[in-house]
Amino acid sequence: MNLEMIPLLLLIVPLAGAALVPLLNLFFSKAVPLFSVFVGLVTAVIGFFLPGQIGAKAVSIVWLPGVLKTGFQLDTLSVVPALIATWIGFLVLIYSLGYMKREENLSRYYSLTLLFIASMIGMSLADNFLALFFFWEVMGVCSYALIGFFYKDPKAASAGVKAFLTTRIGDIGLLAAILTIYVLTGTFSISAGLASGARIALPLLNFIAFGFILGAVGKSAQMPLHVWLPDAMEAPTTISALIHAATMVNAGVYLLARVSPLLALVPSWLTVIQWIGALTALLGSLLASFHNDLKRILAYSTISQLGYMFLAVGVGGVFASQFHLFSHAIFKGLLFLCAGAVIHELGTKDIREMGGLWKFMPVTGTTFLIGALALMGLPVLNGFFSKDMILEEAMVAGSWGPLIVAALAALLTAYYSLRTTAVVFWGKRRTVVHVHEAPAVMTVPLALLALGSLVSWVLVGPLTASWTKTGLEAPHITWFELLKETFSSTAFIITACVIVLGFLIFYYRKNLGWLKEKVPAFFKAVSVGLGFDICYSWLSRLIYSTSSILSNFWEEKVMEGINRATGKTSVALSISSREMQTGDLHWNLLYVVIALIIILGLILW
Amino acid sequence: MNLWPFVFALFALGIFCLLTRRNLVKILIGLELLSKGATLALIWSGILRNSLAYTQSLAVIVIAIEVMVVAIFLALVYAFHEKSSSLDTDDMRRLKG
Repeated sequence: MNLEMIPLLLLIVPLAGAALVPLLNLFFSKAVPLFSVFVGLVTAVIGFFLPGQIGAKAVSIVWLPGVLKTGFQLDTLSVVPALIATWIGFLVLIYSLGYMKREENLSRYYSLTLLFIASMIGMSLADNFLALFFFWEVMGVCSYALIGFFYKDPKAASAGVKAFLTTRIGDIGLLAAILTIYVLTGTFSISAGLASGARIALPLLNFIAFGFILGAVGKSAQMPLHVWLPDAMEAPTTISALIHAATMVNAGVYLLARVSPLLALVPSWLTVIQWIGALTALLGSLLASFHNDLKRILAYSTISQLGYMFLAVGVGGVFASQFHLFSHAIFKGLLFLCAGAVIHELGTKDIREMGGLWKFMPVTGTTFLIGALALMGLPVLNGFFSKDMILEEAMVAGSWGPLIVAALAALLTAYYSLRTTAVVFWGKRRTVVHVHEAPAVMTVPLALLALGSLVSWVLVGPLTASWTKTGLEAPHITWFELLKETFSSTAFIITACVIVLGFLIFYYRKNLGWLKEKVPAFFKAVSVGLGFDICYSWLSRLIYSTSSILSNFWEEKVMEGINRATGKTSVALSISSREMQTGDLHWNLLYVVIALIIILGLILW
Repeated sequence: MNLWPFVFALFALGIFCLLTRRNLVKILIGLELLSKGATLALIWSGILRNSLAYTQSLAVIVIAIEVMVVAIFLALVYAFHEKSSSLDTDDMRRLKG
């Protein structure tokens, strides 16, 4: 087989699968889930050949000569998100066999999931801004349709619309940035556009950077556009794991990492990214600490971890951001799938109704604990290394403000990870529902992802080895050097301190009850998500009412006025001219004679 | 010899008749006076321009068409009289647009 075709195959196989699933559903609907898993398996196997293609010149297709030529950009930066989508997508498809068994309309579910995997691969491998934007939008559509998969539930339907509209704000920024680059450099190609970035005038460069940041903030659910992600938890949990934890929300971070050579030219925007990231990390972990809905806790935690990645891009640690993206995709996918198993058994998302599940679901419990420990950054799990790397990058860059905020967020992360695990799996049982361990199709992906959370950081060697081909800088380090460096770095002290502090808060959380009585306003604010949703609904209502008043004025006063004036004028004209039509023969004859005289006059003079 | 005064006299009489008479038959006569004036003008212009054969043939055609016009006009007058048993133009109010 021609190895150059690998990226194209990787894109086409899930796309073809997505197209074939509805067809198969017509003839043999029972086979749809297994067929989708098969497509996922083929994609995953093809994915194994992809790292070998890094740096290779892949096939490119000319769509419009001179304007649009799109192909594949194969470097470590683009291959990692594509492979995350491929492999975690495959595990999620297997898991869906068990999780979605009892649902209806499975062909829609599987078709959209495969389409999503294809578009994520296309988005990350595209070497062309327009192709990137196209797949970016396809991802948004899949996300919208899958959030509203249970469309009979009005909450799910409106959550889909909310996610779609909120990310649309970011997409406008992204499109504006892409078009500005095209106008200024005459090319949609990513590498050419980035290379000629230094020649762009500073004000325009600021605008472009703003557009890219806006796009990334929308897609990656950063403050202040984070509001769609918690609501997106109405989706099936598998979708939350795949789209809203492991892949799509990383697209924004990937985009910023991709355009980081451009961003490096406008340092003030880098500071903005740092602060967005750090504040989002704090906000996410704060809200996650006080929520009672299991999936929403994980959603806020995703928001918070994405904030870390933004911080990493902002302080110039592009590799750190991608490394954390990689770790986070694994452990957050794992956490969501565990949550899915629990919700599947109990039929509720409220953690107050859970508890004591460890005895009944040992595999789920163990893997959830591993995921939670990776999330809080306990040493030798993958989350520890990547988060530590980010804090160290922030320290090296000397941006102490965001660093302190991020450390505070890490403290809260440690607290809510332990709290969630404890409330769900330890303690006494709070319901009488009969629960038992999830079936093997669900536990095997859990076990694989848990293994990944434990050892994925070992891959730092191959990841950094090919990193220079992305055109960005990072020293090549093996896993052993990473281990040595991490434990001897100053950032390790911060990490260790916040973990210990978080554990202490968790341990003495019962003694903190006085807080609730002293500052009830704080708890009230936290319970409504610090009021972002209220502000937005207020704002949108304001916009709606203003625009309806304006449009009413325009419709009824201006446009209707023109209509009425036209009508009245023509009626008045017809009434006045009707006088001429007397119906009297003599008058008619007189007109004839007058006309005759006029014609005669015209002829003679 | 100059026939233009006769032509204008016939024309003016015709118009006067059309505008002042109320009887439909009289209006027909006024119309005929007009067309006779026109025919006479044709003939006289042919004599002046020395192309009498041409204008004479035109005049014959005009007279022939005149017959048809009169026939149709009389038919309309007859139909109107059948319907309203009057020949007064003031009764023809339905010509109003």
